[in-house]
Amino acid sequence: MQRINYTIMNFILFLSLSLSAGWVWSKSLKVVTTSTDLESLAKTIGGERVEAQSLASPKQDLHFVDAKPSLILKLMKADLFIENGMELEVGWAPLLVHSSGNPLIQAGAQGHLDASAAIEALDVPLNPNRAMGDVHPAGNPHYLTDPENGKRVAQLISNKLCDFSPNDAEYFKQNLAGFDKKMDLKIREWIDLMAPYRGVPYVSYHKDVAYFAKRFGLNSVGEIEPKPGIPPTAQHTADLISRMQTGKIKLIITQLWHEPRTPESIAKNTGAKIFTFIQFPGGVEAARDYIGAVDYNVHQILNLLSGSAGETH
Amino acid sequence: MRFFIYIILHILIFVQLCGSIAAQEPPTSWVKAQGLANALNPKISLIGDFVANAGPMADSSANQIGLRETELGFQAEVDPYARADFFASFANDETPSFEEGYVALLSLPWGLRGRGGKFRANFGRLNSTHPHEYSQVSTPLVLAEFLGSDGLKDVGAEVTRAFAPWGIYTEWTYALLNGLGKSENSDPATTTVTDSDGNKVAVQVYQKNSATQRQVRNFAHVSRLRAYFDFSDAMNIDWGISGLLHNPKEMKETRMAALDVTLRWKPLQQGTFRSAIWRTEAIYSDRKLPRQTSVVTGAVTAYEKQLYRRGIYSYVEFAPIKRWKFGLRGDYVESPEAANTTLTLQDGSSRTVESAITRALSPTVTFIWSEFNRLRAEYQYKVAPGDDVEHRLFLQWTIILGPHGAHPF
Repeated sequence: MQRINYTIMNFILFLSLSLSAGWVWSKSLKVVTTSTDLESLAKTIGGERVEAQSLASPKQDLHFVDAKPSLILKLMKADLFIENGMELEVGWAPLLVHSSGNPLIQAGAQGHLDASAAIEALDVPLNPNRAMGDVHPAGNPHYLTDPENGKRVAQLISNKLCDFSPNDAEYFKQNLAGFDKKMDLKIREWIDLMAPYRGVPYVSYHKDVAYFAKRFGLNSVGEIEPKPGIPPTAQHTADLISRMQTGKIKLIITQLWHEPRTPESIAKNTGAKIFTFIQFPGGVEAARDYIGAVDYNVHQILNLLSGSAGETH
Repeated sequence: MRFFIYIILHILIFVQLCGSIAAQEPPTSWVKAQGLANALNPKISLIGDFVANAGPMADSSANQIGLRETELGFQAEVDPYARADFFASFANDETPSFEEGYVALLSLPWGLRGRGGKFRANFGRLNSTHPHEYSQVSTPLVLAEFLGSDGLKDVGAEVTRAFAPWGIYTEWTYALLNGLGKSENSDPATTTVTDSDGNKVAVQVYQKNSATQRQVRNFAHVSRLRAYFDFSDAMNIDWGISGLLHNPKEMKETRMAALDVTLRWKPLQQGTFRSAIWRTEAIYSDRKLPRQTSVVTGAVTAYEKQLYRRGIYSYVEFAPIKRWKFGLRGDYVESPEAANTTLTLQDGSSRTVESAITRALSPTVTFIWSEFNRLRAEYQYKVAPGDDVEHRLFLQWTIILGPHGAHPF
């Protein structure tokens, strides 16, 4: 009888130790980001000591993500919430964060990080109003298309992770140093590759590649949308075609989520080529992480401009 | 002399140029200062809902053009622990009132969420949605009939807890409300009296509250269990069961239950211009109406009775291309109190109403100019009790001023 009791006690002890060990082992920092570019940066800096996941799919327009209840589940157990900010996710993220009932990640709490705090904004409207379309008062929010901004945001994430977990600070700083080194080399390589095409004019569907274009010297001459967030009209499209024909503009940059009909119609009338920009890692198989996405975009544009590839969409 | 004029002219041109250059420079410090000054103000938004309708000539509310509602919203964090949302409503020809005004608590323990104030109760699917966000111009008949034209809302407190059994998002909500808002006053007690000129006029009866203290069961209790499941990235289902119990002292006991299902299809890449939704909501209502007596004679004018009613609406809405949405809604509502009543027709004849069912079919088309500007048309074919057929046409223009609000799902 005593032996049975011993066995049962040992079994319970073993079980509880295993469960505790499992709990301790799984006690990595849970980071939830709004987009996959932020998720990729968090994973790069946090390594295996962070579990990062994105709310939005890389194939979605970050302006118009549905605040699905299944996304609330991801936020309920998050230690840190990272958003792009500048009102890009204002239509859905505040509702999800509030609905999560998680006090750690509410606006103003330590676990709520606005990544736009690290960057200098472009296109800040002087006197924003809705006559300008769906403008963002704090400026153009698509700043992570510029790899230099990727570095700045990585630094911000590293600082935040160090605050959260001072014991892992050295580890996070090492990861950041490695990322910075790799990025410096890649940025130099990308700028050199794009150098022959500085000043090449392009038309984009929405003003969402402005930071990328500024970094690599591409010249924006207009958008397919008459104003940000306003669907293309026949008159505006006709004017744009005329301008593109006159200016011999041969590059149209669109995104995965934009309707394809209008860009295709413009391309047909102007002989321009359409490039589908991959803003978020995971948008295509080849762009798996943040560096991969910038690399994909640079090489696809190079192929297209050098004429060695057909339509890239 | 000519030299001096020459110099003065140059100075004037220089000053003018400096002025114009200064005017072209963005007054960044001023703009920034203004932005910072506004940073702590609540977000203010305004929604204008213009509605024109054409319908039967006998209906005084038909054939009108009006501003159905103006909604003024104020939303902000109160402090690190709470957030406030206030919506003032200026309905056509009505006294302005706060449609909703509540404070949500952000840091409750055990994953609880809570709010207190005046709010639209979480009963069924559409009651918590503001009418200008509906997919049609007209309110589904079952909601208007059972929950009142303004919806079921009152002052109270609500607590919500989300769970994830088997990975399925599940949310339970319970609210204790002061009452059922205007919906419970839809049939105020009236009596007919003769005035000094000998005219018979209907007057509302003042009902004195009994002196007994109000107990917990005399408040309205509303609860909802909601579950949500993603079939895929593009397709999901959302369903809920709701219950309501209200037993005020005046013996007007109300019990209601609702069942709602929403099926959505919205492909990830094309979601901004292509989507479809099917939504159905059924409500069962059981109301105990008290005995009514004449205040003049004391005679019983209506005996105590139990009123069982059922109603349902179901609609589909499809967005095949950017800017356009097309929908169709069907309505079914039972009104047993209307059965076996006698209608006097315009020619003086009379007939008995046997059927107590209202049915309606409403196709809609929506044109979305932008996220902040929308036009909608609805045609309604309605068969009322007594097989009276009505044709109505609605046109709606909704505009939104101010910042984006988070779009409820």
